[in-house]
Amino acid sequence: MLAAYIHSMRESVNKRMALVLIGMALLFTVIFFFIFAITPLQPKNLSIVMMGHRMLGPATLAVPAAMAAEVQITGALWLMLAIFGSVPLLVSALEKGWVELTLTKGVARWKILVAAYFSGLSLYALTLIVAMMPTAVWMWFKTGVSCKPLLVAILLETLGFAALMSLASLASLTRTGAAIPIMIAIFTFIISPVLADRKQNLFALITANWARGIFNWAYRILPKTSEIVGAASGYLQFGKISSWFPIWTTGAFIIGVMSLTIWLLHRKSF
Amino acid sequence: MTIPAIETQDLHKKYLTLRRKEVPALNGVTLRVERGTIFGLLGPNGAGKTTLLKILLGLCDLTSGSASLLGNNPGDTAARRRVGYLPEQMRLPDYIKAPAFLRYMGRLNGVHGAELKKRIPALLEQVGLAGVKKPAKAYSKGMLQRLGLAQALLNDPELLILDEPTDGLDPVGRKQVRDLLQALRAAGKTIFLNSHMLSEVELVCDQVVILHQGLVARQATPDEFTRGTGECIIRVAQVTDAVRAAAASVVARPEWKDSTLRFAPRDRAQLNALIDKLRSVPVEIESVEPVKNSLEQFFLQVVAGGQA
Repeated sequence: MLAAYIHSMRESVNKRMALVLIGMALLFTVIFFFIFAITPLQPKNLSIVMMGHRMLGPATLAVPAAMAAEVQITGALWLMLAIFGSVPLLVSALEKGWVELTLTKGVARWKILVAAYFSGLSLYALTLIVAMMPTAVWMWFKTGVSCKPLLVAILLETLGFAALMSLASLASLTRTGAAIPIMIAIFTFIISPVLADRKQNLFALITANWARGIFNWAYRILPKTSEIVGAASGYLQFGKISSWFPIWTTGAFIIGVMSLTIWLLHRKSF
Repeated sequence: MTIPAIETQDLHKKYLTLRRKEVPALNGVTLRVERGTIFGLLGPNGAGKTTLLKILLGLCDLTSGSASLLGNNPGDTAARRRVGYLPEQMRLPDYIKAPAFLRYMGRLNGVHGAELKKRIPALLEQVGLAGVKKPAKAYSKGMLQRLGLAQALLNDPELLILDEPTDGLDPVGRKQVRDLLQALRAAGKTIFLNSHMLSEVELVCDQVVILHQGLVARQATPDEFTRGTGECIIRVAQVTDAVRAAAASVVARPEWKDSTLRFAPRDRAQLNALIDKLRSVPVEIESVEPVKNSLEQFFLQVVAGGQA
């Protein structure tokens, strides 16, 4: 499986997907350095100015608030970018003419797909680290407030991305190219905040109980990427996760969809 | 009794269309490939050859019957580590270079790094790709085929399954592949060869199967397929009335075409009597040849539903 993982990572570099994402990450790093300004106000207070918004207070409050803002900015955008960069890895792992070479070797089928899946997740997490960590480390040096909680936040965001990638893995079994898996992942990503806020927005338009029931179930089952980004941001600000429900249900979704994908792949005729 | 390299018993495969209609691809294929032989698989397009290969390699399931690969189930990963496979159509990532590709294929088959370091340069040399630095997207069809052969040989397989191995190769390349296959057989390897190049199958195979409409239509050695028809052709320098009369005195209703006479002698004595008669005319005999079937003729007869 390690060989397949390394191959997928190399593919992401050689097909320029990783390079584009790393380039974007570096650009974000530069932008963050430009938009953050730290000014000591009093012996224990600090002012962090970010895009015109001033966060005043002691460093232990101002720095986490700045990092949380960073997560809010990158969260949604990075999910979108990484979908375009990572889903082709799944598709190419099952491409006609290539599976005849890989799946006839002495290796279980699921390992090939799961390796591509994890290389996509690695690509997402690593580039997110490149995008956000330098400013967090810089703030750590300037203020002494650790950037370690940011790693937990990145891990949480990666969970959201893993859910979208699991759906893309399932869709890639159709072997009809990257378009369908990308569209499904993006649709799920877009519908996530709509379902999360369904009671405030959607249910004002939908009054039928049965339709509301469908949306309630869809919310329970589908990954909650927007809430996970919110949870990551909240963790940075308050040092705790306010609700575990979006996290464990998304985890269960990933396990369910990946199990189904592996089972279907095992039974699939090529 | 030794375990055969490949064995199938009454193998059936039906595909389901989107409208749940069953389309039969294999209708009860029974064959046995002994170890240390080169086994040729022939058949027209749609005969079920590729389906058979896919079942053997675990790429698709069988509907009923049984199949075994080196004594194991076709999907068994341990068995597949002892098999080399060259698919008919390979699609490599554009950027990949031969050594990196072979390294990956080797690792998937459980070949260790140190072993790969030794084998990859040797194999690239063997298939004529040593020193080629360009990526796969710049390869010709022949170069890709050579690379495919190299990856099939990388794990030093007991059984090689080759789908059109000489496709895209020039005559020199084809000869090299033939020599390689014969050397592998001499080393005790088993080779299962699917090819449309009937002349090559005839040259290298020990056993040939003709698959037609999902069934084994014929199985024999190439010699049995191309065995003499019992007829012979006598070519003379000049056909005169005296020559025609001499032939007619030995053979009932002789059929002349230009300066050749084609007939089926009852026995060797009748053939010698005809030659003596012609020599006494006198006429110069240029050649006497037995008429043999070619594998192609036989193949066409089988496919057309005729009798061999």
